Amino acid sequence: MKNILIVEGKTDKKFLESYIDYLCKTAPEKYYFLDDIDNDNDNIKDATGQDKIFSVLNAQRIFINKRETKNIGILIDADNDGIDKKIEEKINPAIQKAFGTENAIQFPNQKYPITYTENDRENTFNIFCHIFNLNGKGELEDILRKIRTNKTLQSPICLDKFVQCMGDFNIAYPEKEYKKNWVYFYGYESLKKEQLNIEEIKSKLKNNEYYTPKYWDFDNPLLNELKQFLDLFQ
Amino acid sequence: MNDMHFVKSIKIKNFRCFNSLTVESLSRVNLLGGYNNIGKSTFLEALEIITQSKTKVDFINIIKDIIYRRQGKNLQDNEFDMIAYDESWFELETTNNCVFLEIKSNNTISILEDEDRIDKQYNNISDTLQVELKVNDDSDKIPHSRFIDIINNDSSRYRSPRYRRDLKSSENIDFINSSTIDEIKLASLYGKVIDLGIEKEIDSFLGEFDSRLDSLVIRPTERHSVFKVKLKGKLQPVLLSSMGEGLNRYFAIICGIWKSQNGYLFIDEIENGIHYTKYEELWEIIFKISKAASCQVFATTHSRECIEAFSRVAEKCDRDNIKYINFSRTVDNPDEIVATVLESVGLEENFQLGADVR
Repeated sequence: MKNILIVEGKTDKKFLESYIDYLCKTAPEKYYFLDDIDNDNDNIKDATGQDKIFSVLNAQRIFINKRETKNIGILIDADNDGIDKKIEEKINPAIQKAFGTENAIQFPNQKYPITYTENDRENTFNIFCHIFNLNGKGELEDILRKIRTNKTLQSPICLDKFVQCMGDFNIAYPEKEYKKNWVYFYGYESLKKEQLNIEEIKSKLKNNEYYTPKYWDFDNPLLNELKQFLDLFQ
Repeated sequence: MNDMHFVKSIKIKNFRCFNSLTVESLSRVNLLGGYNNIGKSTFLEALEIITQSKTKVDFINIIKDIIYRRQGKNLQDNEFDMIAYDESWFELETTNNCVFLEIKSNNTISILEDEDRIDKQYNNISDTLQVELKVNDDSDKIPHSRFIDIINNDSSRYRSPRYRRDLKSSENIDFINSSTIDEIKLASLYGKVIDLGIEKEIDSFLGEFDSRLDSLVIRPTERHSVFKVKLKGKLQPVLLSSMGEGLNRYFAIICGIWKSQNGYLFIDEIENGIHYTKYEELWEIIFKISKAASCQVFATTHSRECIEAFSRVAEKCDRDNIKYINFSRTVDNPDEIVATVLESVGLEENFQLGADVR
């Protein structure tokens, strides 16, 4: 049986790969059911873009029909829309388009079985979601900022100056972009302290190799809901 | 466009590798994918049988044709292998048609009631098995040994006019197999093109495939005709067969669709011999001609590039009439084969997202 995790964006995928790997290594008996995601990163699907969640779900019909995929978890950001709106307007329409089930998910972090008939044959799988948020809004990057291990690390001055400079030209720098770049700069500053040469730093940045427990507190209570979500793969 | 004759769904029971398979939402152009030995060609055979079999005579003749095509040269020794392992019957059913074949013990059915001399002769040699053939409500029973002779085309023993085929019933249904296409097959496909007076269109399509090509000519010989191709700026035409397998196949597919006007064309391993850079052109032409000819097309492929090209072209064409069907074995029972019908558009994206839909 296969578990599929759908995320929105490269950052989310890299973070989840690293976080699941951490859980599987620190508590292998508890998180044995995440092994297939941990061992095969292809089980985490980056569904960034219009209608991509539907595309992944639609292709998964092949693997559900052949009784391979049992659980599908969807992880997206609340952004400014909030949790309910994301479920109602983004996740459920994609599920309905792929499997014909209306309003499949009511709440995050709850498992919902879906049964659909295709070619005279009944197929069942479980679907569930988690919406990254802080107090109902925001995104993964907001959580990352809160759980960074090095709170004293100098904030990326050049980024703030760039945003200020753009503001002077009446050009608003998108908040979401700012948050993503902030994480990137934090990674850069953290790697700089490792006595690595510039090529090694570039390589690690390129491969997002800064999502490690050393730079982020993976045991922070702010990740408890994410853990509950991952428990649903059991 | 007249698409009333199109097969919209099919139910298959005990047919070769399929114990029970239903496929719904079939469309005008259908591309079939899946691992080796998953039943793609068998699915084409099932469709070919059900579309050809308007009568019992059609039914038995298409079985004979398929077995000959697949087992080929072992005349007299070809085996009837269409019933699933450990079963004694198969059934194929669409909305408009149903065929059934069962091999059963002779003593379970009565001696044939008709006056056919040959049937009686076969019964007299105490055949222990008989074959029941059924097309919709019309059924017949024949001795098993005679059935085997018919599928082996053994004319020394099989002389009854009862199972002589009506060639007209199969004239708008054709099958292009995965191997090299010979001149006789090409001639049978090109005949309809001449009847329709669309030779110039075919020349134009061939020119799109290879810009050096000017036109196709037929060179009659004492025994049959040979296809030749006139090249631009060259006086002497050259053999079509010398131009490579890809062009032959391309030509066969285009002519095959027109030959199957208001009917069905089955193409096994469509990509064979054709360079991947030509796939988009091939699909464009298939989508266009199949619509004009109201021909339902079923093709199999193993090629990811072929599926991606299919998807890209479908995006631009009438996507509602184009489907991709994946065959796969279930994880918990490898003998069970399931089909998933996907929209043609977005398949390339699925590959990029890591879902191997082949």
